[in-house]
Amino acid sequence: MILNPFSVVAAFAAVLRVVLGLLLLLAGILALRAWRRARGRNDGSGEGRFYLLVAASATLTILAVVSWPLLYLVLRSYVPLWPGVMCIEGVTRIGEGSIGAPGLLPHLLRALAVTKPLLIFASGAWLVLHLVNRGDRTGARTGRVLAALLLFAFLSVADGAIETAYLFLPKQEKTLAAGCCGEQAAAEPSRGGSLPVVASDAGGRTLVSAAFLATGALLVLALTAAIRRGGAWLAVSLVGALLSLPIGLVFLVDVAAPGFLHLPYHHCVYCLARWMPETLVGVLLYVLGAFGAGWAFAARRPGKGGGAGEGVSVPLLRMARFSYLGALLMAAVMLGNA
Amino acid sequence: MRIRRHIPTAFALLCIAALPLVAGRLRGHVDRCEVDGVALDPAFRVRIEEKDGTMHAFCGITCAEAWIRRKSLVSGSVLVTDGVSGNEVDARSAWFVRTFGNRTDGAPDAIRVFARHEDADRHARAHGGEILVGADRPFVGLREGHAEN
Repeated sequence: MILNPFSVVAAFAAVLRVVLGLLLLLAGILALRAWRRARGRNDGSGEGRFYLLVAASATLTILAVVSWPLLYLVLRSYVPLWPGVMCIEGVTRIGEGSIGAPGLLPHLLRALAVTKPLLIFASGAWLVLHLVNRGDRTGARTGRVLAALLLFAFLSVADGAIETAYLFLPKQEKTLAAGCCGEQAAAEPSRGGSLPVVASDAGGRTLVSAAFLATGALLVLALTAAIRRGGAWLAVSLVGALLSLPIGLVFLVDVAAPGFLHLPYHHCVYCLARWMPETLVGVLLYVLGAFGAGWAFAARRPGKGGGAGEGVSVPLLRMARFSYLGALLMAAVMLGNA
Repeated sequence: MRIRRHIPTAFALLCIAALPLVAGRLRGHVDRCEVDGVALDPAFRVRIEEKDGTMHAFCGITCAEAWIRRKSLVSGSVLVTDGVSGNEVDARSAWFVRTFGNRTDGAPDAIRVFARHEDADRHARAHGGEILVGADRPFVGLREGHAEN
């Protein structure tokens, strides 16, 4: 393990997520069984355990949210350790082609790139369902709240375990094989980073920009319709939000990184975040927009009636619309400046 | 009344839209390598002039060669920086050393450039390494002038 303040804090947080996640999993299963028995008897005795679960889940939510930027701070702190590595992209390639456990390092980081946002989405979904359930005095959604909590706990254990493995695996003696943001970028001219380059010419970039802006604009309209009419527009917003994520990622890699940095061959999103940190605000808004649409859908699924869910879903939809509008405005201004 | 309700939202959106402009103004301009985006160090800079006069700057020899390969460029003028005087010299007349010396000088790669053979030889003797000759010389496939690229 490479010891520095960031890695120590990250390791502590990761182990804590595993332990707390395992406890939550166990307590959640017991709570679910107790709730089912209580529902059968209709005496509500299973709810006493539930308050402790909420407190533990809230702690885990904070840990999950903090762990995402913390991971990138750890990776950033590793950059000076290898000659030839110039940014996080280079660090993510340490271990590539190695035999044995260090060969897993890039795969572990790829897995973390998926589990981190999923974990935050799951924690938000659990929180939203809990708020809706709390507002509904019948407690009709308790089963769903507990199911969301179990999923969140499972993801937390998986994410914590993967991060712990990454942090503790030996890596300092490994060298960068080749890649973007390492001096041997020349060896691999067709790759811009760990993400594949989809649009490398001007025509492709224009197409990606148009798709990005059009998807965002349509999503804003769909979210407005969902706020006013609810129902099927919620599902439309959710599908649009899911579609917007890969489009946003391609835009970030193929248009934003080379275009905003004025480096036509440089598709590194880590360099974009490092040299133009304001783009992180745009990325955060865009992700928040997608998550907001998903959380609103979880709070009030079409055909399940408004009721308590409406009070939670409408503010979430407004937040999602605002986030998408902000991200689009930022992207448009930066495209105009590029 | 309804319009007044939306004023804070509109203001927040305006602030978000203005953020890249303000950040860009505060940051100022930094010359970066066209391949890996590293801030250019004048001591190791390489510049390539295309036939239409467009100038491209790179942090070192490795990135400049990578760019030439990516663009399939076959002609152009290459200016490299002499490691002793810091002056730019034509790549055709420069001497290149693949150094075994450590990289504490902030060099982006392992190739050092010298305007004079004596300096290249002295560096190779002092730090280890070899003077690149023949097909090993950087930019050897690039023709000078304004032929088709």
